[in-house]
Amino acid sequence: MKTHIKRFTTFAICTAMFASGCILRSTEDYTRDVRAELETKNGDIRSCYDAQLASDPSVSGDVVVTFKVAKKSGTITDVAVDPSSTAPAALSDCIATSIDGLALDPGDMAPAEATYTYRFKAG
Amino acid sequence: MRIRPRTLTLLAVALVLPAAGCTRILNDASAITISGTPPAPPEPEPEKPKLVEVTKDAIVIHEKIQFEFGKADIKAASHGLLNEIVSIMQATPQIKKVSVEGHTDDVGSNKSNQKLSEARAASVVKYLTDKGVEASRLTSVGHGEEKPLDTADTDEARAKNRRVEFKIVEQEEITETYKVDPETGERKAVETGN
Repeated sequence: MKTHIKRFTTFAICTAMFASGCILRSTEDYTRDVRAELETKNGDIRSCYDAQLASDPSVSGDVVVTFKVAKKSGTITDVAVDPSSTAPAALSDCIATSIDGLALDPGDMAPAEATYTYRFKAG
Repeated sequence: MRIRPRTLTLLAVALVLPAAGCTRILNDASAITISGTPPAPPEPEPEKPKLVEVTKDAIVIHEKIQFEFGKADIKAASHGLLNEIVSIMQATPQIKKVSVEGHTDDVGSNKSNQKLSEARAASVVKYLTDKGVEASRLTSVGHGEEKPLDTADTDEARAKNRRVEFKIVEQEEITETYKVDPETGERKAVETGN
């Protein structure tokens, strides 16, 4: 009997995931995958930072961003900058523009609300 | 009791779907670090070559003093050069006396060239004194065409020969005593006197 229950539970989960085209991640995996997606835009954000450094070589600080990840599509929406951010507004705007619309592939069955911090350091 | 497979499937889906609908809170504790590259500091501008240089026995100018053709009037283009000589003389009181010496090329008569070279040297002395150099530190003399630098019969040679020179005829001797560190070879001034 127990074997039947396990087998059918697994089957049901797999069927549901296959049908929706997305997966159900653990919170840790979700956090890691979103971060990896954000990091695909690091080059663009670094360009913004270098442009700022050209006018002021001492620019540095943190930008805390919050956003939502839509379920299934994995699209990042509603990007906002937390007031605790210490970097110039130009960098906050740059991050918001860069990451808005990114999408996890595959998406997740669960939506998410995320908080990530960018730290700007002059190398 | 026997549960049908279809019932089990529905049960499992019913359990999974609500869990999938719950919003996850993602809070990444470690920051994404963006390292920027500050622009390299601008390279210092190359030092302009000096127009005027003081050697042991002369104030050497690396540009010609320009005069109106056949006259002793100094062209405005040469005022910067002469002002630099004024600055040097004011900053170097050890130079007690300078002879301003005019020379011409060999075009024209000896007499007129002699006169022109004297007038041009005197014109330079007047400019320098008007700008604040003590008259007692300057004398003027004209050599006409008698002391050419280049005797070739060319325009280049004649241009080279038309010139004004500043010869230091009297100056304070400066003695500087240095102590040399035997280990490093570093030289350090310990005494300066006349």
